[in-house]
Amino acid sequence: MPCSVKIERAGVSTTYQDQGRTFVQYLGIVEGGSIDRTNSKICNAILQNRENESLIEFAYQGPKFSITQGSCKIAIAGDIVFKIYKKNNIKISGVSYRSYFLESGDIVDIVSVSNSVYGYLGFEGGIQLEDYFGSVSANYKSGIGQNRGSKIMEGDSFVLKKRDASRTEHELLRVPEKIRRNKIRVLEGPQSDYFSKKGLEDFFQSEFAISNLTDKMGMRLKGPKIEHSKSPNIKSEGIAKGSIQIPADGQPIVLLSDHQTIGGYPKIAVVISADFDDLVQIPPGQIIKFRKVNIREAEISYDLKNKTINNIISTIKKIN
Amino acid sequence: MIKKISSFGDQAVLCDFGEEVTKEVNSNVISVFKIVQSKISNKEIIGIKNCVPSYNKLLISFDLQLIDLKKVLHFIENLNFATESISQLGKNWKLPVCYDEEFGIDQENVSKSTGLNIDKIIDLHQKTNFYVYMIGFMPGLPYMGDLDSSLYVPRLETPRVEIAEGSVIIAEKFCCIFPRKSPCGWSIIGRTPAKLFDQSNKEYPSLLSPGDTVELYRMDKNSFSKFDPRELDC
Repeated sequence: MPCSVKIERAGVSTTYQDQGRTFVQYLGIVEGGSIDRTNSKICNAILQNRENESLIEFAYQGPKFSITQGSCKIAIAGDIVFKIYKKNNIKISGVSYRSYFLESGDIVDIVSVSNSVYGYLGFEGGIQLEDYFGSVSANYKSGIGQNRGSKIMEGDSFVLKKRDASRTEHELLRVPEKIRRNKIRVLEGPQSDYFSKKGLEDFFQSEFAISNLTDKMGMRLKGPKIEHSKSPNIKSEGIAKGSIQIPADGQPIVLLSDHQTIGGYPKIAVVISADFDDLVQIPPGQIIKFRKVNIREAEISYDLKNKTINNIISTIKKIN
Repeated sequence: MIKKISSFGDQAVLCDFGEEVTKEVNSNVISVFKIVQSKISNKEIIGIKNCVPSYNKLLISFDLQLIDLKKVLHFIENLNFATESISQLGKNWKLPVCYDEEFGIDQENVSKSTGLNIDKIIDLHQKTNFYVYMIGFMPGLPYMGDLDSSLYVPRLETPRVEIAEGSVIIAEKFCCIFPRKSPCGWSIIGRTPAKLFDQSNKEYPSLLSPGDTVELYRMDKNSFSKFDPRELDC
């Protein structure tokens, strides 16, 4: 019997994701995909899924859902508060980074994230979804994905790929550290010559507050006005994830995983890949600073980060 | 062909083909884009994730777990443009546009701003041999040029919150067609019933590709409502 899941409450911004789309950006299609690859990767690994398996991404408050048919195994990754209500009236305080066996009648309520932004809900074997250009990732602004890329809504339901689940649960012996980094490392951007000496100094020496107007397309920052030395309009060009652009108002925008394919503002810096997942998990209102590094440090840090993730994944053990 | 290559973060490079936005510069961008694409599909290089041509630049992004900056730079520097066979020929499309005043809501303003009468504006626009420089802003949205310089108009003072699917707008030397509803700050002069983006078409979701050429033909409101987008051909 296929396992069915029903969404009782959708949460703030709950979407289907995997690792996004390749080779289609030249048609204006955003790459997209899960914004925190560290947690989406670990979530899938706990469930013995492939790295690119479909899962559910949520922000701030997650979904409340019930198993309406069959049995399955779930895992939740991130710094998350959640409860499991078993059909026999047993209530469990959920623990992130372990799998749980669930059956028809069980309800899970992902109450909130704690001092972070995003979390992941994975199902053993993945969710049965139609893919668009090699990915199930939803992108509302461009209308790509299930239901033209819309968020998951209350009352939605879906079926899992795997028919039945075994009762064996898994956990991580080494859970990811809660990194509370507020210094974000960046590389010099391709248009750093569009800024005055004062503009560059202000950018690298000042503190910036993360604005509430932050979504998966971009993180808006509030701080001193970064001064340009020439016109803040450039000819539109392809954009790399993590680019920090400064429009005419002088307030930086970090372009995140759902950024448009091309854009026309000068980029002062680019967040290094090793720090990207940490950055997106910092909630609005908090303060960050940027530190310039060279490409060598960026590459070594990324390699180290991936080794750490693989090391964490290697500690997955059976619980029962 | 490539004037400068710079790193763009630790997982991308930006190739610069020169300052000017001309068809000549852009066709060089698209030639290299097509060469890189064919090398990716022939698996001559592994780890490239996306390749995005724009007016005068080509962005190449890669997966740092599979390849690094040094190897990507080496790959680009060693592309031999002389011996690579480039299928430079884009497709040539014929797209209908209805210039009825109900759709071309900014015609009068464009007339005031350019000093040309509306018939002349429509005539100049429709007779332009359009070339697709790039696709972007949203899936399937083409930036087509070059408009006659007498048609250049500035951005609207207050951008519209939403314009209709199929809106044909003019923006300095470019003409764009909006595949779906969107905010927009440029002047609308007509609408096409053609479907520029269809996510259910898995093989060719975007009607147009960079490097294609487009001829426009006039269509009245009556034919507009009866038009079947599947009739389109090139």
